[in-house]
Amino acid sequence: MDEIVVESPGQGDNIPPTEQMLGLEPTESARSMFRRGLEVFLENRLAVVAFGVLVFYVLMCFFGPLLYHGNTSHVQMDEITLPPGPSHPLGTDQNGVDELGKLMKAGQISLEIGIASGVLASVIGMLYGAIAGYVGGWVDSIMMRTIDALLSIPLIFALIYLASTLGRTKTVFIMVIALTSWFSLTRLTRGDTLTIKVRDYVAACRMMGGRSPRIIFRHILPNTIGTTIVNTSLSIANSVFALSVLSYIGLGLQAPNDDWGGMFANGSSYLDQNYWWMIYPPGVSIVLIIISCNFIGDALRDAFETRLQKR
Amino acid sequence: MAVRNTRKIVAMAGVLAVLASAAACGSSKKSGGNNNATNPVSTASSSSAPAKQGGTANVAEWPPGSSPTAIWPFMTSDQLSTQNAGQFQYYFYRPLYFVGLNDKLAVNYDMGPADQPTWSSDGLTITIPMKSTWGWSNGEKVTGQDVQFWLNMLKSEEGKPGQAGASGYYSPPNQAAGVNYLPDNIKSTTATDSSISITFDQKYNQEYIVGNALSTVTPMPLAWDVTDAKGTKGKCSTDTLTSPTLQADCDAVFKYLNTAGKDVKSFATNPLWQISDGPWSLKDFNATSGGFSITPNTKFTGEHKPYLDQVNFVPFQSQDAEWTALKAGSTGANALQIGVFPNADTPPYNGSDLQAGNPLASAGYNVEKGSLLDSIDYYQVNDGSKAHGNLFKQSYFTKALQDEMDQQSAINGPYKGWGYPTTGIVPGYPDGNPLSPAAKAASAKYDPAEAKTLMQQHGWDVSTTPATCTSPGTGANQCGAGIKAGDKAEFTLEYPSAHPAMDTMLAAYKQAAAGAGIAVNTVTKTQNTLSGELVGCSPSAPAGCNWDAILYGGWVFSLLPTTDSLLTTGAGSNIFGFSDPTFDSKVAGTIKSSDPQAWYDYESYAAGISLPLIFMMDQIWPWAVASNFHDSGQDAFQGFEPEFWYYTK
Repeated sequence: MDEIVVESPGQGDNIPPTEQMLGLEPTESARSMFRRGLEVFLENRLAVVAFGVLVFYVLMCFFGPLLYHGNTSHVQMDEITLPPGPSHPLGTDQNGVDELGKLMKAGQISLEIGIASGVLASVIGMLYGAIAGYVGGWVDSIMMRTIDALLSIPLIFALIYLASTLGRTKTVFIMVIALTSWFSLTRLTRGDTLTIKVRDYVAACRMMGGRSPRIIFRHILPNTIGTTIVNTSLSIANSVFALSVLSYIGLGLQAPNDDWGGMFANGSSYLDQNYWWMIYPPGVSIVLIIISCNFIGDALRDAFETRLQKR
Repeated sequence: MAVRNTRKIVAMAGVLAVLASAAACGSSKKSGGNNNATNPVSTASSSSAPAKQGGTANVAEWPPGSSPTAIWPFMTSDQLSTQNAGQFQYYFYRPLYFVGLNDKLAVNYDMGPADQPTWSSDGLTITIPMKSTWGWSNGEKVTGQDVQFWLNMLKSEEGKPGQAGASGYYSPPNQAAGVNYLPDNIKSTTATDSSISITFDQKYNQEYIVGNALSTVTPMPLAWDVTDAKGTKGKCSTDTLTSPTLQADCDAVFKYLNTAGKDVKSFATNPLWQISDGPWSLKDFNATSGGFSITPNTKFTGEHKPYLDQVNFVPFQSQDAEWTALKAGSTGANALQIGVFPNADTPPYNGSDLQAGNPLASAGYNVEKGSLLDSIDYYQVNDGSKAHGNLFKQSYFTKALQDEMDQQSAINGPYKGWGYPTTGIVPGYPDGNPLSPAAKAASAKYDPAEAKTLMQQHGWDVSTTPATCTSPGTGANQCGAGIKAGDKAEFTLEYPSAHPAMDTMLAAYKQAAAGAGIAVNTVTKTQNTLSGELVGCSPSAPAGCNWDAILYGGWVFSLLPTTDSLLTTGAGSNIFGFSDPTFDSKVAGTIKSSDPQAWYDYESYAAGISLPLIFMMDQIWPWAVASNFHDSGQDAFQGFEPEFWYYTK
């Protein structure tokens, strides 16, 4: 049997001490969970590109208007349906409105509503799932059967009904989309909660007199955060898509506060005329944002998956 | 009052519409097209290649979504439309005098059963000779008695204006203006087989009588003088205008013919409607779709016999559907020979080369353009609106509304050059209309700065939109009668849905009006919905007090562009609550006198008051016509004359 020889490392020697080699002491440059996750994330080239796309759109939509001052509201009858050119890089629409400026403005609305409703849906779903999973019993049964019932309602039908009855403001759309998008996260969070709540540290906390809210918020939810973040990124994508669908069928925000879906719907009525610049920019933007969010979600899932992390 | 001598442009796909046309042309010094266009009032002509006899043509009903609803040429007010008259009934039953063929403001004596009339030396009596060669398909001649039959029927409408189902031709006398209209202005008639003489109660403008009044008269065969399906003979055709039994006699016939005349299922089968004097016979009529086919009337004895063996009028519910059919090509069994371009697919107007950019060239179609006759387009405001009627009665306010309407940019932009501006109450096109210097000076123009100034000068705070009245009262610098302090300069403008070019034009208008503090709340509704809302405000029709402004269509005049049936007090189509005794007397002047000064006085006065019409551009309709087909287009009043159509060799 080989003997373990303990030697003091010399100056500049990179050989780790035995404790470290045995995993009994932290490494010299201990990597945080975030750092490990980031490394995994960065290994996913598609996700990096997707993140870049997302950043690009955020910058373009929210800071672009500070640099580019296209006409986004005034009807210019002498500039209608102009193709892309020096004065209008993405052309103009049927009202002579600059498409690039409109794309930025509409992008603000799409991203604001998409992100806000995605986050809100995640918060609702996370809390609901954690409570159901933690409390268990008949409360869990009722809560989850309610979710089953809600899931049986076609999403598009619910969206149309709520959007048409509650009004067509930005706040309403955030609420409507969020309220129809939190069900799947609830199931995932509940599943996580069921496994976490039987762990020793949760039992210990309970034995020491920890109350349920404290256990849920201090010990359970932090341990489901990976699932939540992954789901949030996907939820944002779904929210952007849902808003686009509503706008496409004419139930979106009222002009001139179009989102990308509204722009796409407007442009698609000019398909026969080949006014491609009214269709492709919003269409491509919607697709890119949705794909990006999905790639980012995939990468985040990998990042939070401990089995894939290097220690 | 007189027979309604104008024809309403009915709800149409393009609403702003007007006409489409025939060959020939007028000419004008004005330019109404876009920058690279030549004068829009120029020729629209189809192939001049030799004609080929025979063949079947498929023609899209126009405008899309419309189809005939009445075949009896004595229509009620809700039936009176070009779709029923010039695009249907006139094929079979010819009006006494036909006006407007080939884009010219003239009476076309060769198109109807009567020759040119003569007037007595005192100018009170007109004698209308009936053509000896013109007959009904049942073998009878078209006689003076047939004309008398129609006049009697109109006379029996005397007590019914405003009632549901009342004739669309009758208007009550205007006592304030001292003028009566057909048939109340008739003192006596003498009808024979070969002529009818009509003596009027006073001297009238003779052009008006022939071109506006008598052009609405359609002789009716004596075989139609029946009171039931069994053929029980009526007495309406044999009465005189003063017969004490005329009302009862004609009511009985009216009741039966009106019912039969709107039974679309029996249009092509009812023996009554088989008796015709026009160049065509109705072969079949699809009561569900509204499509129909016509074949030559083999017993037609008039001029201009058809070339084609059959014409099928194909219904389309939308411009898109028609466009799809056109793109399929001009050859093939069901291919269209004539259709209309949707606005979005219309090539930019190029007066020197209409075919430039023709998207249907490869499909075998040429681009042809519509005519421009005697028409005005507008959106109408409701002086009787309980919410904003007082605003519309202010001449400075309607002037401001007019100042914000940029007609030329609308023509150049969304309408791609296919249009011409409406300059005032008398159409600027064609040449020949008596435009006074005052009318020319007051031509509608785009002047947003003036609009804002007008509002400010009349006591409105325009720092916000809607502006607020800060100086109520009736003084020269105050808001005007009925407008209180704090009232807002706002109203709702309803217009037809599904018209992208119109959306753009009105979005620009709304934006411009906001600059003068006027908030125009635009609302789109279907054409049929708007049609239902278009009633005048009265105690018996309170719904007519609810609408503010509606863009529905325009007005196509007959030979003389007077507004006797549109704007005079109590006129059948005056649904605006507009009433101005002085204006009425000026209109009466145009009817009673051919003196140009009467027209000038009328125009000058109209230019200075608050008319309930905000003028808008007239659209010229771009037609797609198969390249191997000769299309005479439409006449000045949107009617078709298929007897001039043929395939080319």
